[in-house]
Amino acid sequence: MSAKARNDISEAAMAAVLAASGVALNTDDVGPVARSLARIERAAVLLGSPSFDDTNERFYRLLEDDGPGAGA
Amino acid sequence: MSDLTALTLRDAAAAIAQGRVRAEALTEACLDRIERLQPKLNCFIRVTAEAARERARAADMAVKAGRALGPLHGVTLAHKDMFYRAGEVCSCGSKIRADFVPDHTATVLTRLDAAGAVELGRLNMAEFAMGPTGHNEHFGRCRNPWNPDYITGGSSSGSGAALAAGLVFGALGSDTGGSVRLPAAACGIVGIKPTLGRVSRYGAMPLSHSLDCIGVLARSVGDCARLLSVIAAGDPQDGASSRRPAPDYERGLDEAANPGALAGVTIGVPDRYYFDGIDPEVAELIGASRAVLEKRGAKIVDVPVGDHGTINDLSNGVLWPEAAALHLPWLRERAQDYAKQSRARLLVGLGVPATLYNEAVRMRGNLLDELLRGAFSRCDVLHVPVLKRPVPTAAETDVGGGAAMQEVLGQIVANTRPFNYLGLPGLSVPIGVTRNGLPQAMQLVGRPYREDLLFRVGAAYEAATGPAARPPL
Repeated sequence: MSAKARNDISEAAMAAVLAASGVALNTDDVGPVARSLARIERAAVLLGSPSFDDTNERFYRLLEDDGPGAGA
Repeated sequence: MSDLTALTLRDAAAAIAQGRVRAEALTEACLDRIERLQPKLNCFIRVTAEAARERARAADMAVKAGRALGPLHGVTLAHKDMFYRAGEVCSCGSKIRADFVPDHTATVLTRLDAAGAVELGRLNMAEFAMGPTGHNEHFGRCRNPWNPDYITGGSSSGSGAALAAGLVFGALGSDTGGSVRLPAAACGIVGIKPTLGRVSRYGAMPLSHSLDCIGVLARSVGDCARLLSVIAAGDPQDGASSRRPAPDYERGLDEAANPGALAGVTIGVPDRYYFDGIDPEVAELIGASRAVLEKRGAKIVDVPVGDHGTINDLSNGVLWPEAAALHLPWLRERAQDYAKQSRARLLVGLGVPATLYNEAVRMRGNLLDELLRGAFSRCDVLHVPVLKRPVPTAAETDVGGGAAMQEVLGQIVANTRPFNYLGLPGLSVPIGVTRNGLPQAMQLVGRPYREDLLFRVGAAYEAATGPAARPPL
């Protein structure tokens, strides 16, 4: 998915997503959420998507296997 | 002894164990100081004076009877109001949980109790640990002992302020994006966020299970080391806690006073991001702190780090969806009971697609691997500022939930949050004050489970520069 496509969420679409959560919204709620989402999307694109085999478990294994006392 | 509250935690524990100071006298000294300074600082949500007195009297009897004493015997502590104790109210800094009474006790409290600590009460905090400034609409803003017009940092605001004001000798905090290191820095004390998994989270209020760490704050590196030694351990009640044995973090700290104590230690200075846009005053203090470490024998090198500004942004894709999932029932039914800022931040989590959340979580392995193979192949410890700017005033950061919120709050957590995402330990150590009279701090970041080395470097700095200054109260 391209960066452009990923960032292409309109405020109207975001309002629909938020409304589906069942949380009551104010009119000025949606813009900041859409902007935050765009930043997160941009970050994910810039940092490069994980491969199929990059699991969450790898992160915890790296933490646990590093440093003194590993495997104790 | 003239002012018992001026002792370090370790000295207070030694004085009680040797019978030179009574635990009851120490407790009364702290309670007197709390009574005098609480109206000015608003550090406490609740003071449990009678329970503390009772426990202190029992501690004195144990000393008299020659019983075996724990490492915190008779020492007065207080904690961020998010650690559950069965049968006692735990507000989490919120209106929503103002009357919440848990039915179980946090493992960290159980361990502190077993070590002999005397709890004085519960400390102020950001609502549900969701803000980095110290504002709290429900319990009132916690004020900085160095100048009440300035923020304490958060979310462990009361922990930072109470330590700096000499009201307690140590405190628990939690750190999901900087909530231990920021108040430690802004209040001029020491705070450590351990490696993710080092400390049990059983019985602690959750915010983001991928990022939450329980940490400690105290007035010296050695005091922090003792507290972490007490609480760091695997816990069958927290399946995510590490099973590796925790070392005695105080071991070797006395040798840190030697002039060449840091020989063989390489300190890495990141080549990007952490110094971008840094205030010149802060840069000067950070440079001076680096020079102290070099003089103590450390080798200073520049090291490459990845795009940590982008990591900072990405971490929002983990933190807020996890927090929003926890809070969704209350967001639906009691939205009016949240502060505007908390509600606005939780809404971000509702807007993040599950696939993006999952991607942000899965990217952590690669990004941690990159840092370990890159910067940490050339150095033992990273050295960066906690804050890039002088501590701001409360008015500067009183941005509610409006459009400026993300930018203002984002600046405060810019140098702390990437290390939560990466799961690494970070130690905040005071390095002086800026012209506004507020403290600044260096942040020492290590490889996983190298809290021992962070303490060693911090203690060497402290030995070279003397105890951190205390606020004029």
